[in-house]
Amino acid sequence: MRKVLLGMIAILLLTFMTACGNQEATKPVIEKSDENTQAEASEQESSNAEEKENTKEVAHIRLGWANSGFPSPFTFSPNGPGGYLRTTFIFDTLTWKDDQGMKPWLSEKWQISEDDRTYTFTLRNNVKWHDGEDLHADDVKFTFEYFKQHPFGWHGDISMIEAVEVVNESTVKFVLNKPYAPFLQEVVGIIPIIPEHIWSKVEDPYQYQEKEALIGTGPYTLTSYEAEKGNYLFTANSEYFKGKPIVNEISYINVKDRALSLQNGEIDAAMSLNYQQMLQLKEKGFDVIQSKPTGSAVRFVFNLQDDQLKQKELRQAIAYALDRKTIAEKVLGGNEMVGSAGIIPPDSDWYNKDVKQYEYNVEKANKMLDDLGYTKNEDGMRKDLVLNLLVSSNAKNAQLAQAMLKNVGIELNIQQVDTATFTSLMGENNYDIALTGHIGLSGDPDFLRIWFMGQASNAYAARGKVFENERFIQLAEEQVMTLNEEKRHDLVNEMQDILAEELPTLLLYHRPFYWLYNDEQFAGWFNTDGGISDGIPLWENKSAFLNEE
Amino acid sequence: MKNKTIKSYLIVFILIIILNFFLPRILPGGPVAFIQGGDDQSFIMTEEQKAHLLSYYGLDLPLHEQFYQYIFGILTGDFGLSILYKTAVTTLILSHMKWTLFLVGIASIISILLGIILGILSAWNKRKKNDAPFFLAMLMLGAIPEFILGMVLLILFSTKLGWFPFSGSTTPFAQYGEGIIGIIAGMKDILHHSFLPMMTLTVVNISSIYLLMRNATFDVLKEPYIYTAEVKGLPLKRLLFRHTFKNAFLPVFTLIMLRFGFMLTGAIFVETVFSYPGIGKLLQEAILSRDYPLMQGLFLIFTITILGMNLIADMVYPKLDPRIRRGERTVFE
Amino acid sequence: MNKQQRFGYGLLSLFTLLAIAAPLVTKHAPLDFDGPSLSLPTIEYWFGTNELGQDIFSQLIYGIRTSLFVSFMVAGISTFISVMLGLWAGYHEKADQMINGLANVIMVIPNLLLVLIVVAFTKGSLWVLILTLAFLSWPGYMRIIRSQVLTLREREFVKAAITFQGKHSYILWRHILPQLYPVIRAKLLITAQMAVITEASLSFLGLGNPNTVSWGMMLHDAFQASTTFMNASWQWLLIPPTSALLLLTINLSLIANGDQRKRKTKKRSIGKLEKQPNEKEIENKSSVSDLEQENNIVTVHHVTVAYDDSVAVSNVSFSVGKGETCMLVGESGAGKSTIANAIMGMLGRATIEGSIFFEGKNLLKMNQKERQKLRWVDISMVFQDARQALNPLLTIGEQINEVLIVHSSYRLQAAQRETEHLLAEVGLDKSVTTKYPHEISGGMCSRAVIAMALANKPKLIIADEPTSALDPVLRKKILELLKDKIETYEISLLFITHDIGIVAELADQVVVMKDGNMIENRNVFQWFNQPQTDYSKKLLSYG
Repeated sequence: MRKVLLGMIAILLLTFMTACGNQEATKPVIEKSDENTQAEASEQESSNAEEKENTKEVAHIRLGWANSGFPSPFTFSPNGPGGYLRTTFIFDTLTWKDDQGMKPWLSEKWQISEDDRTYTFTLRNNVKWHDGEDLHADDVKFTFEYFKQHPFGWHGDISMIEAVEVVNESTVKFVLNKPYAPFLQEVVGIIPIIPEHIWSKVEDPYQYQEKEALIGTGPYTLTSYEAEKGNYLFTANSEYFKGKPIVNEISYINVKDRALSLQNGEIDAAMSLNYQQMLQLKEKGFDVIQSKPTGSAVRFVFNLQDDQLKQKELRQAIAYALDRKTIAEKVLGGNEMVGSAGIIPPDSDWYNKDVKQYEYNVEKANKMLDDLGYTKNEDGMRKDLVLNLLVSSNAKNAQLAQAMLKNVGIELNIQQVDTATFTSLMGENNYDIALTGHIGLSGDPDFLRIWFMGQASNAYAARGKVFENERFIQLAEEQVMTLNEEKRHDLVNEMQDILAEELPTLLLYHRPFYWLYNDEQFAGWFNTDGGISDGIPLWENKSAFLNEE
Repeated sequence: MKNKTIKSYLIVFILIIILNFFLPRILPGGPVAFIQGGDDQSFIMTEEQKAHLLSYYGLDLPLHEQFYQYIFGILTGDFGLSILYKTAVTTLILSHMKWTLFLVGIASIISILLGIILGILSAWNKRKKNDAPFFLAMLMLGAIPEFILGMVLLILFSTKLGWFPFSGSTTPFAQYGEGIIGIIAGMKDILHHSFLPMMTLTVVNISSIYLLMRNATFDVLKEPYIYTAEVKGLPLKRLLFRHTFKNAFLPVFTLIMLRFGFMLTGAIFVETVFSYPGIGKLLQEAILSRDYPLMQGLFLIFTITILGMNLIADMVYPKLDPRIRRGERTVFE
Repeated sequence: MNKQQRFGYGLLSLFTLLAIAAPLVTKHAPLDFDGPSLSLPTIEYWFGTNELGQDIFSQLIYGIRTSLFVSFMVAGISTFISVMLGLWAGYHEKADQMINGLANVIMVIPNLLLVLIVVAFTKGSLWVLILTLAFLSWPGYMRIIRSQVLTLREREFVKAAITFQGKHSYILWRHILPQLYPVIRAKLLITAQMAVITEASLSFLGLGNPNTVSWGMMLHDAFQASTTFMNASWQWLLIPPTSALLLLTINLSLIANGDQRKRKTKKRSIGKLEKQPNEKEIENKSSVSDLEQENNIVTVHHVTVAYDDSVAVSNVSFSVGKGETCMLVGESGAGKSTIANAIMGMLGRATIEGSIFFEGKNLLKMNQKERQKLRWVDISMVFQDARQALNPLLTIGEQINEVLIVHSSYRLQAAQRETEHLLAEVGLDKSVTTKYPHEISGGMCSRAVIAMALANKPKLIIADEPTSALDPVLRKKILELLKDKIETYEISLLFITHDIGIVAELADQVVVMKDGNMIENRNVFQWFNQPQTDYSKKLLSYG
């Protein structure tokens, strides 16, 4: 027995020692990986030197993202933005966003009628499908009609479209049933145009996974998809109407950990959520872009039908009781941005600077709770105030919140469930507080209407339950029909004021995303204004790979 | 085989087919709830989209109609379309199954062979002198949870030493070239990726087979016929592998067959640690996303494998033991 | 309880104590996040902190609570179900069918899948996990207990209890349950270990309960964060929970398997050795060279055999001449078989003193290889129970062939012919070669064993009560066969028996053994006519 014990101790010591030894050894390894990328880069330089006219061309970029299914517009997985993003490499939309904001893409220009209900697009005339056919106005009409029958699996509300009419071969007219302010960004900027000559023959697009399903007009074609591993290889479309992309091949590898793979040289650029991790990689020589505006947030959703939580003062007291700055700092590792009570992030164009905010204030929280009649017992807990916190993947935030609320005498029970359970519990209104985190706050502010007016069937808001505030409802409906920016700003500002006062949801913090890359290999990355496709705060925007004048 | 055995197989099989339909549906939230996203969702789904999804997958039908469809599907060998991957369940399972079978298959063969040989030798040595140190070492090995061993190997050999890749089953988009060189390069790549997970599975499984074999052998070594064989002056190899092994293997055989069936599901931890694209990962995703057709397909595959292994054990057993030619002894007693 | 188990229980108690005293041992609450992020181990934070600034040491100690709670509960509940259903199934035929049916289904369902499904949506509750694991883990041991109950029911003392008391619950409780303690103990420990591993594994997959701290969750959190692998923090994030988990599981499995390792092979002993024979004395006696007579095939000279500190045979001397038959007579336990084993070199770990000469050469001075050469070439055996002595999975032919092939370098075909010939000599048809032992009668087995003993025409056959398992008619036939063969081939015979009737038929010489001592060694006629000891007289009067 003693021998065995000694052996075990020896093994432990050994692992410790190798561990410590390796700690020092990490640096050379990193340097080596740097050398590798440098070597690759110089290789590219030499190969590029041969064909001098294309000096900016990059042979291959490797990126990391999870598997998101066959990238046709009907089969990509909506779990996470990766599926949609990769579809946009193959398919184009009428409008698109880059760092300068929205611009025409498949269209050349558009006209909006006086009543804001008719959009007339003139299509570019040099656009060809990957199979060599020309893009026609018929394809656009077909696309929207087809998606009416077979709903798109992403932000796909096209219910405001009354009719799509082909004016001539390169002109198409959309008639809306009422004005819709984010139409250009959120409808024609998201729905991919698909070829009529392929899909008109397809009965069940959700099962259609032939090669033809990937014929788009986009800058890339899919060369290889390793389905069970989730790896994608895209090759530049040399016939692209905006010219051949600079990056010849893009591969997406389903790596286990993007930051780690970036450090090990398995991929060339990666997104990180953690400030410390970003600093660490920056130190190792990677360049960084921070997402701006911060389109992502972590927040509490209060069940407004709960007997206790329907009291505004209780919600406000919780806001005062939470040291949201510390939560953000602990979870994100620094560079924190406390959540705005008005939901829209402070670095967004739509942010209301005068909106009410809730500073961390335990005294105030305690007083408000006392005033509400929740008295503390000898243990310092308010025995009538036991709340459930529903989470599925943000358990860390929940643990921190639990400890903070205990300080003011509120007992918070963390109820961790998986995604589907989470959604169904919310759908059944079977929760007190739900903790959710998501992106999409940087785009058009219409999301406020969708969240709180029961438009979204998701857990974005108290689902199917309208936030019963007359003024808010009125404002929300008005802003979506207001195309005048200035007027719309005023409306959205007032909406933020109401939200901040009523707190149907409490934003804990906004999450900046960081993009880490090696600029010697490819430096064309940029922050898309308001997020790719109106809300995705990532950097894999296809227009980054294009050589546009 | 006796009628009674066939009957008990049939009953279990029918029960499982029924269970297989209801088990996934007991879970709270359905596939559409998953698509809508939990607390980390990224898109806003409208009620129309939701209704369309429900009707597309036939989830708005009454339960009994869904059940008929399911039974009809099984009878025609069609497990339907995976909701998560939008691919036929059969295709999906087959493409992942090959990796798991490769991993589990080789790991099983190595661990069974080594476990048996070590078990016999250990039991023999125990009689002669003392196998305690070795026995204890194996006991400890057997007490290590799979994921811990995998994690330790991953950290040491992948992250720290960099000898093996961090995840996956092959180099992405690898082109191995033509002919034999290509095949060799491909095999090298696959083995390079599978080495650590395979090691983990082998090491973790070796101990239980070793322990079974050691105890069985130890019991057999006490039998008079082994005394006979020893007195007969037979060489050690013949004594152990002809006289002892044959007898000691009998009680171990059924257990090994059962274990083999369970190892398929057991690979889930190793596949998680090493991000190996096997069936365990698929299963995890299927459960998480409430992908009913995929869950049903996988569950059926697992139970059929286990039942099949039992059946094979039942059929092979009499061949191993001449005393039982009438197939009395079955796993189901 | 052996040393190793004592240590194991000690460690387990220590773990339990730590779990109970967790608030006293730790400075920080496990979920408090006051510390700096990813701090190295310091005096304040003994094992460092994690990303959120939580104290690893505290989490480790509180983690014991979760692990032990789950393992004790699962083990307790599962064992309870196993025992209850096992007893019921063993006692009640109708219940037996139902319980077994249920067990079959549970055993075929992929357990892990079911656990995953159940745990996936009840992440909050440890109790759900506990009940699921308990529900899935009872069938294996239920069967073991059931079959034990079935055999116990047939035992005399239980039968007696049934006739006297009749009350089932009382019998189960008082008579059967105590017999099951070893099984129950093993079941408890093995299930406890399984539960610890499963809980940790599930938490590692991210299916743990965030309200409680567990080792699996610590590992999950550390393994999920890529920073863990990018700096040195994995050392204090991963090593402590890994070590703790390993310590607990290994410890449980050591306790569970402790008995097995130390399970002694109990040998008969005839009491303590009064006085160890003086080595010099033995040396002196064995140097007598006139004992090494040429015409003696085997000479046993002052042989003492001891297992550990108990003596099986003490100071036995006799010799068997060429063609002579020597009877070794005595009750069972007298040490007769020990003598045979000493000659065959089959004493294992026992110590042996004295000398055994075979054709003038001291067997005890030979190395294993030289002895091996004598086996079945010069000395063969006929065994007590012929059917038991034959390997059930090999045909009779194979078992005879191999001694020819191994020792006399026969080719397979020649060996097969020789085997048929040998079988014919003992009166068996050649079709017997392809038969397995269970396919032929007991008498045929005895004949086959004799044929096997004759295979290499040895100089000595040791027959260890070869006829005790046979009926009188058969016994006579077999003895005649044996007698005929040794006379034909001039083989010496050392015949061990407690049957005085046989002595008269076969013996030239008689050695009487009692309690490990040789009390008489005489010519058979002298012994029958003038037995010198009371014991011999007693034996003869029974005979």
